[in-house]
Amino acid sequence: MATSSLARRWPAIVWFIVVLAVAFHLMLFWQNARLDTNVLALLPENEQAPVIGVATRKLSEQAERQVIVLVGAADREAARRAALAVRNTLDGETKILKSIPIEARMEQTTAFYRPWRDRLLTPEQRDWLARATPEELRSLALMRLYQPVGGIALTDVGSDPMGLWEAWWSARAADTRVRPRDGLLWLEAEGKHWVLLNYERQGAVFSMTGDTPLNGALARARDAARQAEAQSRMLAAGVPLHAEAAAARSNYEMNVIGFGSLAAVLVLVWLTFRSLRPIVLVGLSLVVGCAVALSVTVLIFGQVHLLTLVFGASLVGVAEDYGFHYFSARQGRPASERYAILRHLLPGLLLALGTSAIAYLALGLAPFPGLRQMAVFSAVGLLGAFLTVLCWFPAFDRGELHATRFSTRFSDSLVHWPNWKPNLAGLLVAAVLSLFVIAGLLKLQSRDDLRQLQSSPASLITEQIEVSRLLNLPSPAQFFLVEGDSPEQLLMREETLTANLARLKMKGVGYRAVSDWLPSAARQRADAESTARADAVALAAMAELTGEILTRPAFAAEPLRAEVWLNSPAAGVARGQWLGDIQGRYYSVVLLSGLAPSILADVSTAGHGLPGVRWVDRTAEFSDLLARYRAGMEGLLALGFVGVFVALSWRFKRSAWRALLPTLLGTLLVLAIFGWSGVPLQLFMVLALVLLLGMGVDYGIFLLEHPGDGTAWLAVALAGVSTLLSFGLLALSSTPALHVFGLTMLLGEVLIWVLTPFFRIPEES
Amino acid sequence: MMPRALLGLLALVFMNIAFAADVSADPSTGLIALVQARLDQPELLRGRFVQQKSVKGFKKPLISGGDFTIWRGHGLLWHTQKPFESMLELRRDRLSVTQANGRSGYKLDGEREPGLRAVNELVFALFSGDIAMLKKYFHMQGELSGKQDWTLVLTPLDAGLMRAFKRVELSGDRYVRRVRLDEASGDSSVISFDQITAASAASPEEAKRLGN
Repeated sequence: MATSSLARRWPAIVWFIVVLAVAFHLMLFWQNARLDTNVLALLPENEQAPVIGVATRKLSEQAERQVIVLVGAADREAARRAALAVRNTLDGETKILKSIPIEARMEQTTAFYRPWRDRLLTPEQRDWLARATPEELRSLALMRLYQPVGGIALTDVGSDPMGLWEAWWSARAADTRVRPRDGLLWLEAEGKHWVLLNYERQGAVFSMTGDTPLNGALARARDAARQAEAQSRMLAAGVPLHAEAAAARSNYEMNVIGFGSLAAVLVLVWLTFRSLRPIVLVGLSLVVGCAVALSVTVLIFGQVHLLTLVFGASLVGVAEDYGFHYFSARQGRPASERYAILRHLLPGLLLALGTSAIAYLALGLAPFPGLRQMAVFSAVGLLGAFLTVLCWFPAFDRGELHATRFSTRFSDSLVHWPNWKPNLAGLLVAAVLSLFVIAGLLKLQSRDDLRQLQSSPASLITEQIEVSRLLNLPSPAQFFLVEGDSPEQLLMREETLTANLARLKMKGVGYRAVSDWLPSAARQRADAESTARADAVALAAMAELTGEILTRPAFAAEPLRAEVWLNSPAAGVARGQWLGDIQGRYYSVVLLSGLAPSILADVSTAGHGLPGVRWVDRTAEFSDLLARYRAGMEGLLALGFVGVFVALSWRFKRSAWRALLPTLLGTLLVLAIFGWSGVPLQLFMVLALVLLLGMGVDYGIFLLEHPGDGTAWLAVALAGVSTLLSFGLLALSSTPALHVFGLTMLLGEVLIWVLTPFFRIPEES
Repeated sequence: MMPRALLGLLALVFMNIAFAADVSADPSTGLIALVQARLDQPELLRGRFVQQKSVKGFKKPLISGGDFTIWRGHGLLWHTQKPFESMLELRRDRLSVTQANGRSGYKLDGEREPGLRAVNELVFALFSGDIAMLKKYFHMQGELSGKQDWTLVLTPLDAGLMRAFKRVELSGDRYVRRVRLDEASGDSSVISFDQITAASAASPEEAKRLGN
């Protein structure tokens, strides 16, 4: 007797130790929470070329903290007043924003390049110098010399008699339309004067409390601008804005979904059992399940994505099933039978846990880091809740639990539920349903684009697009990745590419390349030769006309090298495009601006057939990937049905179809309903269907395990309603992917839950 | 493709002029108002110019001459005849220089260089004596002499413009007669205007070059 009681107690003690360890781990974790908000972190690395992933990450890291503000008005004075009001407000927000001063680098940069002046030409100059006759060179040099208006002297006439260097600088300045003027950065675009203010986000980019300090500061700045100048407009853009919005929304959704479903579950428990013990214990199983899930996720992934937590909040609606089954069976039976009851339930519970966990882990087959996290989080959470029921419930559940009127009435209702029979009525219903399903499936379309993951508010996105257009910012999603086995080869390959890209200028496409600022040594040598020739002609012409002889000074003997350039103040903005040495090879990025969907094909062909040049279109890549995994998951779903049927047949023999058919029907009906209502089929819908298979079958399993047992029906009903609530709440998520996921689960759950009793084993009358 | 030598040079000036202070200048003294009163502001001015440019590296000044047209609100034609032929057309948002042989030299587009409008504004204001406009860029001191004559000394308000010009001196009567530009580099130009006539409309040739 003593040994048996010890044998009964040790699981409770071991589980207690595990839970203590988890609690300790989470305490440490929350002190320095590593939470991820970047939607792109949910997406897979490029499978074929990991270097594209490295390139994208390096590019996005540069923009991680950047906040851009544009203040515009119809006239310059109004724009200035509004901009100064905005600047005053934002400069005061030192805890969240740091103002980036206007770089006065001009003198420094020209001084750096001076020894290599003779090696720097624009493509137009290069072409012209190659074709120009001595006569043309002469008259141009002379015209420049006699111009009524001079320029700032970057060099003296002797050092640059053709004025070639200034044109090179002018071409560099054309990268941006922004010009400094009296201490502000100005932009004239679309009939307005705009002032550009650059900031860097300080401190944590988001907070788990759902605060939005950045948004608050920008709102105050907007007010200040409007007060200073009623007609002014302020636009803000930058990654931190999106990150903050995502954090605030996730926080809200986590609370709504997590606490909403928790409250609903507890109310259900109270209604059914009218006792505090089930509430506390079921609540405990959920808390422990979530805690273990979070702890294991952190251990495996090092950090947790916000969307994992949002998704994880819906776990509450699934993990309570085990507790429900225990208490439904336990209700109205003496406390001494509790271990026997649990043993009796165990095969069904294990099978249910197995199918659900397998379904969750199947989600993790897709190579989406975010999805893997969600899969691990959910599967571990289920296991945690299950072990809590197994180890703790009998140990703590010592009192009596009387059947309530609600529960007995509900348990008894099962017999009144009709049973489907292959008679005339039954076949007629089947025929109508089949027609509905087939027609619906034929109408079903599919869509696989990246917007599924986009949850930023529309206003933020519109402003981001407007700012990009006004500033002509390069696209972050489409670019060329250039590769070489040395910096020199890399730069030469860039030059071949940019020569092709230059032809697209007429179509409004601009490019920014490192080789604009740092030409290859080969090109520098060639250009030095042509400038030497042209300068000699120009100096001779001047000597002939004026009778005075100017001398051309000696320039640097060696070309400008990458190492020297990279460590100089001249590298400036282009430095970010130089990715440098990755696994022994050199990489750089050629950025493009002015891209429109209609010319993407033209732009990509500019790199066709060029060695070491790769066109990267992240948007298309993701859509392609989403489509491929949707197809893969559809296959998995079909395979899953076969696998589950095999497992069910092994346990239930010829009745196995009764457990599976409701889920199959439910799945087909969901798809048909989406087909009829025009909602396109997408990856996250298929993923929900995979999960639905794992959970829907549970209901069938319990009704088959305990035929004619009203308490199993009660547990299934409770499980169904609570799962429905939690995923129903997930449908409220503003992330389209989670929304459609929740919606699919919601519809599917209801349908399967309603269909299951139709296929139960008929009660012997 | 044409060379972009001068184009680049001017673009830099443009960039620097774009630095220019936009603050309303010091309150115009009575003297400047008096200078303003002495100046005519006709629709169109034609005349001849002589330019003496002192450039670092050349011992003797570089002298050139020709004729010009300034058309209010449209632009400037600068036709150099000596020591060689060339034509500079400065419009509100475009600049082009044509060589003696009639071949186009090069063009600059205001779409691509946002400072062009400001340069146009400034050059036009200097050559036509548009005091109101000059006040946007320069600090001014004036002096009157005789019944008609006046002199203005301009110093840039903004450090950016100061990188191009140290000082500008204008003098004249009903019209600007002389412009002296002291560039930051140490180079300087003196441009003298004479045979100035006012007109109310552009000739067909001028309209073709400067019209829209």
